[in-house]
Amino acid sequence: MILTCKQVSKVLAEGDYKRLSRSQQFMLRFHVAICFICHGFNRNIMRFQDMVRAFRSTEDKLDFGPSLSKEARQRIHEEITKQQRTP
Amino acid sequence: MTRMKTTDQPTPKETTHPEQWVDEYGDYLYRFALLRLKDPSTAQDAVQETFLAGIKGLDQFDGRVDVKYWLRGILRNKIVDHIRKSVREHPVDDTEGQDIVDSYSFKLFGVTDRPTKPWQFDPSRAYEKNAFWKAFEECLGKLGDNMRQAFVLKMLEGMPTDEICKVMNIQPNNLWVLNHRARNQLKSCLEKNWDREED
Repeated sequence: MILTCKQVSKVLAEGDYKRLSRSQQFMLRFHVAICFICHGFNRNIMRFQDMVRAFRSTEDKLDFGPSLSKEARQRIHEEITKQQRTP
Repeated sequence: MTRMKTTDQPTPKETTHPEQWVDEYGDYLYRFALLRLKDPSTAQDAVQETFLAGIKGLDQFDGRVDVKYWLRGILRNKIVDHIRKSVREHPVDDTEGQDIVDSYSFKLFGVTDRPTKPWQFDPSRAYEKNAFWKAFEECLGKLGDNMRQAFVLKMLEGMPTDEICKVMNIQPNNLWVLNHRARNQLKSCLEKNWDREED
């Protein structure tokens, strides 16, 4: 099966190319690698999909970023206690 | 052979104590929500709603996944609810980007007519560095609301296009344009802010 640029763009707009079968991934990669029309555009989408996949697998381990404020923590604690008391 | 009875296996309720959730998972869930919703007070609300929904649904928690990830699953739905609410209050301008959608390049090939410039560095070489993800999060925070929402739902959460279109009340082409613009801005921002000396 030969993919057209439009089909490749549609597949990539639908979601992560890694969800495709190995043979579909191969065809997609092959098309994007040699195509002078959609190479830059679709290669960039694939790069972002790779990046987001890497981010999702790292996100849990990242310890930077803000924490809940003392006030918010207190308020949420109170709401949890209130909810637990509700029969 | 009779299977050994696992009487010593903790029941879900023994492993979860909602009164400890704020201390154990509060910061993690807050950061998760803040990256996706940007506004601190909305992110706090989403975390609070998550905990309250968690208490209500505790009977359905079967202990097959860590409580942290079970709560994160609830939070994901709350985030989508908040995005839906935000879009209802500030509807997406669906005329913006119509020029891209009307172009021959889009109609014939599903791409824009302006060529995408190659990256000034290879981001995959920076994935091991926390500083790169810090830059990524900062750049994501600089996107306009609709672009961030589209990128979060499509790329980060991997939601199907038709569901996102319902949440954001837009057409698939609008979503495509928003994600295209989000990628362009993220790329420029990362190229500007990522110190390639660290690469």
